[in-house]
Amino acid sequence: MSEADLREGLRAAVGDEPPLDFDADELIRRAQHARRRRRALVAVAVMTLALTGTVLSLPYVVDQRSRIDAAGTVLTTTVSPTGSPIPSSASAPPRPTITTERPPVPTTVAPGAATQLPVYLSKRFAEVVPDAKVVSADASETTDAGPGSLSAWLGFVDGVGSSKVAVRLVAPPYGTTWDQYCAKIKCAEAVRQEDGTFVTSSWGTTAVPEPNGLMCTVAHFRADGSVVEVTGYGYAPTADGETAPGQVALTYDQLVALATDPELTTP
Amino acid sequence: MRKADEQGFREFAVSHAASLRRTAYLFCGDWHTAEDLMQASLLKLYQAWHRIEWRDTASGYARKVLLRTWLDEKRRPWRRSELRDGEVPDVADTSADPERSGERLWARDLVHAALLRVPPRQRAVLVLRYFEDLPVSEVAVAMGCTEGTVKSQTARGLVALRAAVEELERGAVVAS
Repeated sequence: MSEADLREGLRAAVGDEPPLDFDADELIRRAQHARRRRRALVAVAVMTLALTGTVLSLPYVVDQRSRIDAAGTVLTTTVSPTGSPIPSSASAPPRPTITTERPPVPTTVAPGAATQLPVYLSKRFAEVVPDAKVVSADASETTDAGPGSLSAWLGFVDGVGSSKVAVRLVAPPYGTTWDQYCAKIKCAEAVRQEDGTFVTSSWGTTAVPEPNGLMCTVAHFRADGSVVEVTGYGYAPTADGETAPGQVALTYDQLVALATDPELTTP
Repeated sequence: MRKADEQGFREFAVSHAASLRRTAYLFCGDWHTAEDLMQASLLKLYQAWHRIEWRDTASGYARKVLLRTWLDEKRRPWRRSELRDGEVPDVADTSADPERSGERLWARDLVHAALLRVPPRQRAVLVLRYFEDLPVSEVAVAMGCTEGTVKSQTARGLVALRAAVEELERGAVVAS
Protein backbone atom coordinates (compact mmCIF):
# COMPACT_ATOMS: atom_id res chain seq x y z
CA MET A 1 0.00 0.00 0.00
CA SER A 2 1.44 3.31 -1.10
CA GLU A 3 1.11 6.59 0.73
CA ALA A 4 -1.34 7.79 -1.90
CA ASP A 5 -3.51 4.72 -1.32
CA LEU A 6 -3.37 5.42 2.39
CA ARG A 7 -4.48 9.02 1.86
CA GLU A 8 -7.32 7.91 -0.35
CA GLY A 9 -8.31 5.20 2.08
CA LEU A 10 -8.40 7.62 4.97
CA ARG A 11 -10.52 10.08 2.98
CA ALA A 12 -12.86 7.27 2.08
CA ALA A 13 -13.05 6.08 5.69
CA VAL A 14 -14.75 9.30 6.76
CA GLY A 15 -17.03 9.33 3.72
CA ASP A 16 -20.01 8.05 5.67
CA GLU A 17 -19.77 10.82 8.22
CA PRO A 18 -23.08 11.34 9.99
CA PRO A 19 -24.49 14.87 10.11
CA LEU A 20 -23.00 17.02 12.81
CA ASP A 21 -25.42 18.38 15.35
CA PHE A 22 -23.13 20.79 17.11
CA ASP A 23 -24.44 23.63 19.31
CA ALA A 24 -21.65 25.98 20.33
CA ASP A 25 -23.84 27.82 22.85
CA GLU A 26 -24.70 24.59 24.60
CA LEU A 27 -21.01 23.67 24.69
CA ILE A 28 -20.11 27.06 26.18
CA ARG A 29 -22.88 26.73 28.75
CA ARG A 30 -21.53 23.32 29.79
CA ALA A 31 -17.99 24.67 29.95
CA GLN A 32 -19.09 27.55 32.18
CA HIS A 33 -20.98 25.15 34.41
CA ALA A 34 -17.92 22.91 34.68
CA ARG A 35 -15.76 25.92 35.51
CA ARG A 36 -18.13 27.04 38.27
CA ARG A 37 -18.24 23.54 39.66
CA ARG A 38 -14.46 23.26 39.65
CA ARG A 39 -14.06 26.58 41.42
CA ALA A 40 -16.62 25.57 44.04
CA LEU A 41 -14.77 22.30 44.52
CA VAL A 42 -11.46 24.10 45.00
CA ALA A 43 -13.05 26.52 47.47
CA VAL A 44 -14.54 23.67 49.46
CA ALA A 45 -11.22 21.84 49.46
CA VAL A 46 -9.36 24.93 50.68
CA MET A 47 -11.93 25.54 53.40
CA THR A 48 -11.76 21.92 54.47
CA LEU A 49 -7.98 22.04 54.67
CA ALA A 50 -8.07 25.29 56.64
CA LEU A 51 -10.62 23.91 59.07
CA THR A 52 -8.73 20.67 59.46
CA GLY A 53 -5.51 22.55 60.13
CA THR A 54 -7.22 24.74 62.70
CA VAL A 55 -8.84 21.81 64.46
CA LEU A 56 -5.59 19.87 64.54
CA SER A 57 -3.43 22.77 65.71
CA LEU A 58 -5.83 24.17 68.32
CA PRO A 59 -5.21 21.47 70.99
CA TYR A 60 -1.48 21.98 70.58
CA VAL A 61 -1.78 25.76 71.09
CA VAL A 62 -4.07 25.34 74.10
CA ASP A 63 -1.73 22.75 75.54
CA GLN A 64 1.21 25.10 75.15
CA ARG A 65 -0.59 27.89 77.00
CA SER A 66 -1.79 25.61 79.76
CA ARG A 67 1.74 24.27 80.21
CA ILE A 68 3.07 27.77 80.61
CA ASP A 69 0.33 29.01 82.90
CA ALA A 70 -0.26 25.93 85.02
CA ALA A 71 0.37 26.69 88.65
CA GLY A 72 2.93 24.71 90.53
CA THR A 73 2.07 22.50 93.43
CA VAL A 74 4.86 23.44 95.77
CA LEU A 75 6.25 26.86 95.16
CA THR A 76 3.17 29.04 95.00
CA THR A 77 4.08 32.54 96.10
CA THR A 78 0.93 34.34 95.05
CA VAL A 79 -0.29 37.05 97.41
CA SER A 80 -3.24 39.36 97.30
CA PRO A 81 -2.79 42.60 95.36
CA THR A 82 -3.32 44.62 98.53
CA GLY A 83 -0.25 43.13 100.08
CA SER A 84 -2.00 41.16 102.80
CA PRO A 85 -0.59 37.68 102.95
CA ILE A 86 -2.82 34.72 102.26
CA PRO A 87 -2.29 31.17 103.44
CA SER A 88 0.08 29.22 101.28
CA SER A 89 -1.47 26.75 98.94
CA ALA A 90 1.47 24.41 99.32
CA SER A 91 -0.47 22.11 101.57
CA ALA A 92 -3.53 22.10 99.34
CA PRO A 93 -4.00 19.37 96.74
CA PRO A 94 -2.52 20.08 93.30
CA ARG A 95 -4.81 22.40 91.40
CA PRO A 96 -3.43 23.37 87.99
CA THR A 97 -5.07 26.45 86.63
CA ILE A 98 -5.22 27.78 83.10
CA THR A 99 -5.19 31.52 83.03
CA THR A 100 -5.34 33.90 80.13
CA GLU A 101 -4.55 37.02 82.10
CA ARG A 102 -1.24 38.00 83.53
CA PRO A 103 -1.14 37.32 87.26
CA PRO A 104 -1.09 40.31 89.59
CA VAL A 105 2.27 41.66 90.54
CA PRO A 106 3.40 40.02 93.80
CA THR A 107 4.63 42.33 96.52
CA THR A 108 5.97 39.77 98.92
CA VAL A 109 6.57 36.08 99.19
CA ALA A 110 3.79 34.02 100.67
CA PRO A 111 4.53 32.53 104.08
CA GLY A 112 5.67 28.97 103.74
CA ALA A 113 7.11 29.34 100.26
CA ALA A 114 10.59 29.94 101.64
CA THR A 115 10.36 26.76 103.67
CA GLN A 116 8.81 24.67 100.93
CA LEU A 117 11.46 25.60 98.38
CA PRO A 118 14.40 23.83 100.12
CA VAL A 119 12.25 20.76 100.68
CA TYR A 120 11.28 20.54 97.08
CA LEU A 121 14.78 21.37 95.85
CA SER A 122 16.31 18.62 97.99
CA LYS A 123 13.90 16.12 96.53
CA ARG A 124 14.38 17.31 92.97
CA PHE A 125 18.15 17.54 93.34
CA ALA A 126 18.30 13.90 94.41
CA GLU A 127 16.49 12.97 91.19
CA VAL A 128 18.73 15.06 88.94
CA VAL A 129 22.03 14.21 90.68
CA PRO A 130 21.47 10.75 92.11
CA ASP A 131 25.11 10.28 93.19
CA ALA A 132 25.08 13.32 95.49
CA LYS A 133 23.77 13.64 99.00
CA VAL A 134 22.19 16.88 100.15
CA VAL A 135 23.65 18.01 103.44
CA SER A 136 22.08 21.45 103.82
CA ALA A 137 19.27 23.44 102.29
CA ASP A 138 18.08 26.94 102.94
CA ALA A 139 15.94 29.56 101.21
CA SER A 140 15.03 33.15 101.76
CA GLU A 141 13.21 35.99 100.13
CA THR A 142 15.50 38.08 98.00
CA THR A 143 15.11 41.76 97.35
CA ASP A 144 17.77 42.41 94.76
CA ALA A 145 15.57 40.95 92.02
CA GLY A 146 12.34 42.56 93.15
CA PRO A 147 9.47 41.50 95.39
CA GLY A 148 8.19 37.95 95.16
CA SER A 149 11.60 36.51 94.36
CA LEU A 150 13.30 33.69 96.23
CA SER A 151 16.86 32.45 96.63
CA ALA A 152 17.85 29.02 97.83
CA TRP A 153 21.13 27.29 98.68
CA LEU A 154 21.73 23.61 98.59
CA GLY A 155 24.89 22.02 100.00
CA PHE A 156 25.75 18.53 98.88
CA VAL A 157 28.49 15.92 98.87
CA ASP A 158 29.27 13.59 96.01
CA GLY A 159 32.05 11.15 95.24
CA VAL A 160 34.54 13.96 94.58
CA GLY A 161 33.87 16.42 97.34
CA SER A 162 31.45 18.95 98.70
CA SER A 163 29.92 21.86 96.83
CA LYS A 164 26.87 24.05 96.63
CA VAL A 165 24.19 24.99 94.17
CA ALA A 166 22.22 28.22 94.24
CA VAL A 167 18.72 28.67 92.86
CA ARG A 168 17.09 32.04 92.32
CA LEU A 169 13.48 32.50 91.27
CA VAL A 170 12.78 35.97 89.90
CA ALA A 171 9.10 36.76 89.63
CA PRO A 172 7.64 38.76 86.77
CA PRO A 173 7.68 41.56 85.92
CA TYR A 174 11.06 41.97 87.55
CA GLY A 175 12.65 39.18 85.56
CA THR A 176 15.03 40.58 82.99
CA THR A 177 14.97 39.66 79.33
CA TRP A 178 17.69 37.64 77.72
CA ASP A 179 19.17 40.76 76.13
CA GLN A 180 19.26 42.63 79.43
CA TYR A 181 20.72 39.62 81.18
CA CYS A 182 23.47 39.07 78.67
CA ALA A 183 24.33 42.77 78.53
CA LYS A 184 25.71 42.49 82.04
CA ILE A 185 27.58 39.22 81.76
CA LYS A 186 29.10 37.21 78.96
CA CYS A 187 26.69 34.41 78.31
CA ALA A 188 26.49 31.64 75.78
CA GLU A 189 24.09 31.56 72.87
CA ALA A 190 20.49 31.09 73.95
CA VAL A 191 19.08 27.60 73.45
CA ARG A 192 15.44 27.50 72.43
CA GLN A 193 13.31 25.00 74.35
CA GLU A 194 10.39 22.97 73.02
CA ASP A 195 7.85 25.32 74.58
CA GLY A 196 9.46 28.38 72.94
CA THR A 197 11.34 29.60 76.00
CA PHE A 198 15.10 30.15 76.13
CA VAL A 199 17.95 28.88 78.25
CA THR A 200 21.32 30.56 78.43
CA SER A 201 24.46 29.87 80.44
CA SER A 202 27.52 31.72 81.61
CA TRP A 203 30.83 30.74 83.16
CA GLY A 204 33.00 32.62 85.64
CA THR A 205 34.78 32.55 88.93
CA THR A 206 33.48 33.51 92.30
CA ALA A 207 34.52 33.73 95.92
CA VAL A 208 31.58 31.61 96.93
CA PRO A 209 31.81 29.03 98.32
CA GLU A 210 35.62 29.29 98.20
CA PRO A 211 37.89 31.97 96.76
CA ASN A 212 38.51 31.63 93.03
CA GLY A 213 35.95 28.84 92.71
CA LEU A 214 34.55 28.04 89.32
CA MET A 215 30.93 28.93 88.68
CA CYS A 216 28.44 28.07 85.97
CA THR A 217 25.02 29.71 85.83
CA VAL A 218 22.07 28.51 83.74
CA ALA A 219 19.14 30.89 83.40
CA HIS A 220 15.74 29.87 82.05
CA PHE A 221 13.67 32.75 80.66
CA ARG A 222 10.07 31.62 80.85
CA ALA A 223 7.05 32.66 78.85
CA ASP A 224 5.35 34.34 81.80
CA GLY A 225 8.32 36.67 82.31
CA SER A 226 9.85 34.89 85.28
CA VAL A 227 13.47 33.77 85.35
CA VAL A 228 14.86 30.71 87.10
CA GLU A 229 18.59 30.90 87.65
CA VAL A 230 20.59 27.88 88.84
CA THR A 231 24.28 28.26 89.65
CA GLY A 232 26.68 25.41 90.20
CA TYR A 233 30.02 25.94 91.93
CA GLY A 234 33.34 24.22 92.19
CA TYR A 235 34.38 21.89 94.99
CA ALA A 236 35.45 23.18 98.38
CA PRO A 237 38.92 22.18 99.61
CA THR A 238 38.92 19.10 101.77
CA ALA A 239 39.62 19.19 105.47
CA ASP A 240 43.10 17.70 105.08
CA GLY A 241 44.11 20.51 102.78
CA GLU A 242 43.99 18.70 99.46
CA THR A 243 43.33 20.88 96.46
CA ALA A 244 39.84 20.55 95.10
CA PRO A 245 39.36 19.54 91.45
CA GLY A 246 39.04 22.59 89.25
CA GLN A 247 35.61 21.86 87.87
CA VAL A 248 32.03 22.71 88.58
CA ALA A 249 30.39 19.99 90.59
CA LEU A 250 27.27 19.82 88.38
CA THR A 251 27.20 19.21 84.66
CA TYR A 252 25.52 21.58 82.24
CA ASP A 253 22.67 19.15 81.65
CA GLN A 254 22.02 18.83 85.37
CA LEU A 255 21.89 22.59 85.76
CA VAL A 256 19.49 22.86 82.80
CA ALA A 257 17.30 20.11 84.24
CA LEU A 258 16.99 22.07 87.47
CA ALA A 259 16.43 25.43 85.79
CA THR A 260 13.75 24.18 83.43
CA ASP A 261 11.84 22.27 86.08
CA PRO A 262 8.22 23.39 85.58
CA GLU A 263 7.54 23.01 89.30
CA LEU A 264 9.92 25.84 90.07
CA THR A 265 7.53 28.67 89.39
CA THR A 266 6.87 32.11 90.73
CA PRO A 267 3.31 32.79 89.67
CA MET B 1 -14.24 35.04 29.86
CA ARG B 2 -14.74 38.30 27.99
CA LYS B 3 -17.41 38.59 25.34
CA ALA B 4 -14.85 39.02 22.58
CA ASP B 5 -12.94 35.93 23.68
CA GLU B 6 -16.14 33.96 23.95
CA GLN B 7 -17.17 35.01 20.47
CA GLY B 8 -13.75 34.02 19.17
CA PHE B 9 -14.06 30.62 20.77
CA ARG B 10 -17.56 30.17 19.41
CA GLU B 11 -16.41 30.88 15.86
CA PHE B 12 -13.45 28.56 16.26
CA ALA B 13 -15.61 25.75 17.65
CA VAL B 14 -18.18 26.01 14.88
CA SER B 15 -15.55 26.04 12.16
CA HIS B 16 -13.41 23.23 13.55
CA ALA B 17 -15.93 20.87 15.12
CA ALA B 18 -16.41 18.77 12.00
CA SER B 19 -12.72 18.35 11.21
CA LEU B 20 -11.94 17.52 14.82
CA ARG B 21 -14.64 14.87 14.81
CA ARG B 22 -13.27 13.33 11.61
CA THR B 23 -9.80 13.14 13.06
CA ALA B 24 -11.20 11.69 16.26
CA TYR B 25 -13.07 9.09 14.23
CA LEU B 26 -9.88 7.97 12.54
CA PHE B 27 -8.26 7.74 15.96
CA CYS B 28 -10.95 5.68 17.62
CA GLY B 29 -12.99 4.15 14.79
CA ASP B 30 -16.39 5.05 16.21
CA TRP B 31 -18.47 8.11 15.38
CA HIS B 32 -20.13 8.28 18.80
CA THR B 33 -16.83 8.15 20.61
CA ALA B 34 -15.47 10.65 18.12
CA GLU B 35 -18.32 13.02 18.97
CA ASP B 36 -17.55 12.64 22.69
CA LEU B 37 -13.85 13.23 22.09
CA MET B 38 -14.56 16.34 20.05
CA GLN B 39 -16.88 17.76 22.72
CA ALA B 40 -14.44 16.96 25.54
CA SER B 41 -11.57 18.55 23.62
CA LEU B 42 -13.55 21.73 22.96
CA LEU B 43 -14.53 21.91 26.63
CA LYS B 44 -10.87 21.73 27.61
CA LEU B 45 -10.05 24.28 24.96
CA TYR B 46 -12.64 26.67 26.39
CA GLN B 47 -10.99 26.49 29.82
CA ALA B 48 -7.64 27.44 28.29
CA TRP B 49 -8.91 29.94 25.75
CA HIS B 50 -7.79 32.96 27.82
CA ARG B 51 -4.18 31.97 27.29
CA ILE B 52 -3.42 33.97 24.22
CA GLU B 53 0.09 32.79 23.47
CA TRP B 54 -1.13 29.91 21.30
CA ARG B 55 -4.19 31.70 19.91
CA ASP B 56 -2.54 32.02 16.49
CA THR B 57 -2.17 28.27 16.25
CA ALA B 58 -5.43 27.31 17.89
CA SER B 59 -6.15 24.50 15.45
CA GLY B 60 -2.79 22.89 16.20
CA TYR B 61 -3.45 23.21 19.91
CA ALA B 62 -6.91 21.72 19.42
CA ARG B 63 -5.42 18.70 17.62
CA LYS B 64 -3.00 18.28 20.48
CA VAL B 65 -5.81 18.39 23.02
CA LEU B 66 -7.83 15.94 20.95
CA LEU B 67 -4.96 13.50 20.73
CA ARG B 68 -4.28 13.69 24.47
CA THR B 69 -7.94 13.29 25.26
CA TRP B 70 -8.17 10.20 23.08
CA LEU B 71 -5.01 8.65 24.52
CA ASP B 72 -6.29 9.33 28.03
CA GLU B 73 -9.65 7.87 27.17
CA LYS B 74 -8.02 4.81 25.64
CA ARG B 75 -6.15 4.11 28.85
CA ARG B 76 -9.35 3.90 30.85
CA PRO B 77 -10.13 0.31 31.84
CA TRP B 78 -13.69 0.27 30.50
CA ARG B 79 -12.39 1.14 27.02
CA ARG B 80 -10.00 -1.80 26.78
CA SER B 81 -12.56 -4.52 26.43
CA GLU B 82 -14.79 -2.67 24.00
CA LEU B 83 -14.81 -4.25 20.54
CA ARG B 84 -17.18 -3.64 17.65
CA ASP B 85 -17.83 -5.73 14.58
CA GLY B 86 -19.00 -3.72 11.62
CA GLU B 87 -21.12 -0.65 11.62
CA VAL B 88 -24.24 0.52 9.83
CA PRO B 89 -23.87 4.02 8.41
CA ASP B 90 -26.19 6.58 9.91
CA VAL B 91 -26.96 8.15 6.54
CA ALA B 92 -26.64 7.06 2.94
CA ASP B 93 -23.50 8.10 1.07
CA THR B 94 -25.19 10.05 -1.72
CA SER B 95 -21.95 10.99 -3.39
CA ALA B 96 -20.96 7.39 -3.92
CA ASP B 97 -20.84 6.13 -7.46
CA PRO B 98 -23.13 3.07 -7.64
CA GLU B 99 -20.77 1.34 -10.05
CA ARG B 100 -17.78 1.81 -7.78
CA SER B 101 -19.56 1.74 -4.45
CA GLY B 102 -18.63 -1.85 -3.74
CA GLU B 103 -15.00 -1.21 -4.45
CA ARG B 104 -15.01 1.98 -2.42
CA LEU B 105 -16.70 0.35 0.51
CA TRP B 106 -14.20 -2.46 0.41
CA ALA B 107 -11.26 -0.04 0.25
CA ARG B 108 -12.70 2.12 2.99
CA ASP B 109 -13.32 -0.79 5.29
CA LEU B 110 -9.97 -2.32 4.53
CA VAL B 111 -7.94 0.81 5.33
CA HIS B 112 -10.05 1.66 8.32
CA ALA B 113 -9.99 -1.83 9.76
CA ALA B 114 -6.26 -2.08 9.17
CA LEU B 115 -5.70 1.31 10.76
CA LEU B 116 -7.48 0.20 13.91
CA ARG B 117 -4.96 -2.62 14.26
CA VAL B 118 -2.02 -0.21 14.33
CA PRO B 119 -0.80 0.80 17.82
CA PRO B 120 -2.38 4.05 19.07
CA ARG B 121 0.54 6.46 18.77
CA GLN B 122 1.57 5.12 15.37
CA ARG B 123 -2.06 5.39 14.29
CA ALA B 124 -2.15 8.98 15.47
CA VAL B 125 1.00 9.78 13.49
CA LEU B 126 -0.46 8.21 10.35
CA VAL B 127 -3.73 10.13 10.69
CA LEU B 128 -2.03 13.43 11.34
CA ARG B 129 0.44 13.03 8.49
CA TYR B 130 -1.71 11.39 5.79
CA PHE B 131 -5.21 12.58 6.65
CA GLU B 132 -4.51 16.03 8.13
CA ASP B 133 -1.50 16.43 5.79
CA LEU B 134 0.53 18.02 8.55
CA PRO B 135 4.29 18.45 8.19
CA VAL B 136 6.54 16.47 10.48
CA SER B 137 7.25 19.49 12.65
CA GLU B 138 3.57 20.12 13.41
CA VAL B 139 2.96 16.44 14.08
CA ALA B 140 5.86 16.52 16.52
CA VAL B 141 4.25 19.48 18.31
CA ALA B 142 0.88 17.75 18.44
CA MET B 143 2.41 14.50 19.67
CA GLY B 144 4.74 16.21 22.11
CA CYS B 145 7.81 14.42 20.77
CA THR B 146 10.78 15.07 18.49
CA GLU B 147 10.64 15.08 14.72
CA GLY B 148 12.87 12.02 14.65
CA THR B 149 10.36 10.17 16.76
CA VAL B 150 7.59 11.19 14.37
CA LYS B 151 9.55 9.82 11.42
CA SER B 152 10.31 6.54 13.13
CA GLN B 153 6.73 6.18 14.34
CA THR B 154 5.51 6.87 10.80
CA ALA B 155 7.78 4.21 9.34
CA ARG B 156 6.72 1.66 11.94
CA GLY B 157 3.08 2.62 11.53
CA LEU B 158 3.24 2.10 7.78
CA VAL B 159 4.84 -1.30 8.24
CA ALA B 160 2.17 -2.26 10.76
CA LEU B 161 -0.58 -0.94 8.48
CA ARG B 162 0.69 -2.88 5.48
CA ALA B 163 0.93 -6.01 7.54
CA ALA B 164 -2.63 -5.51 8.74
CA VAL B 165 -3.89 -4.90 5.21
CA GLU B 166 -2.18 -8.06 3.95
CA GLU B 167 -3.62 -10.02 6.78
CA LEU B 168 -7.11 -8.67 6.12
CA GLU B 169 -6.76 -9.35 2.41
CA ARG B 170 -5.88 -12.93 3.18
CA GLY B 171 -9.31 -13.28 4.65
CA ALA B 172 -8.81 -12.52 8.30
CA VAL B 173 -11.82 -11.43 10.22
CA VAL B 174 -12.30 -7.70 9.99
CA ALA B 175 -12.48 -6.26 13.44
CA SER B 176 -12.96 -2.68 14.20
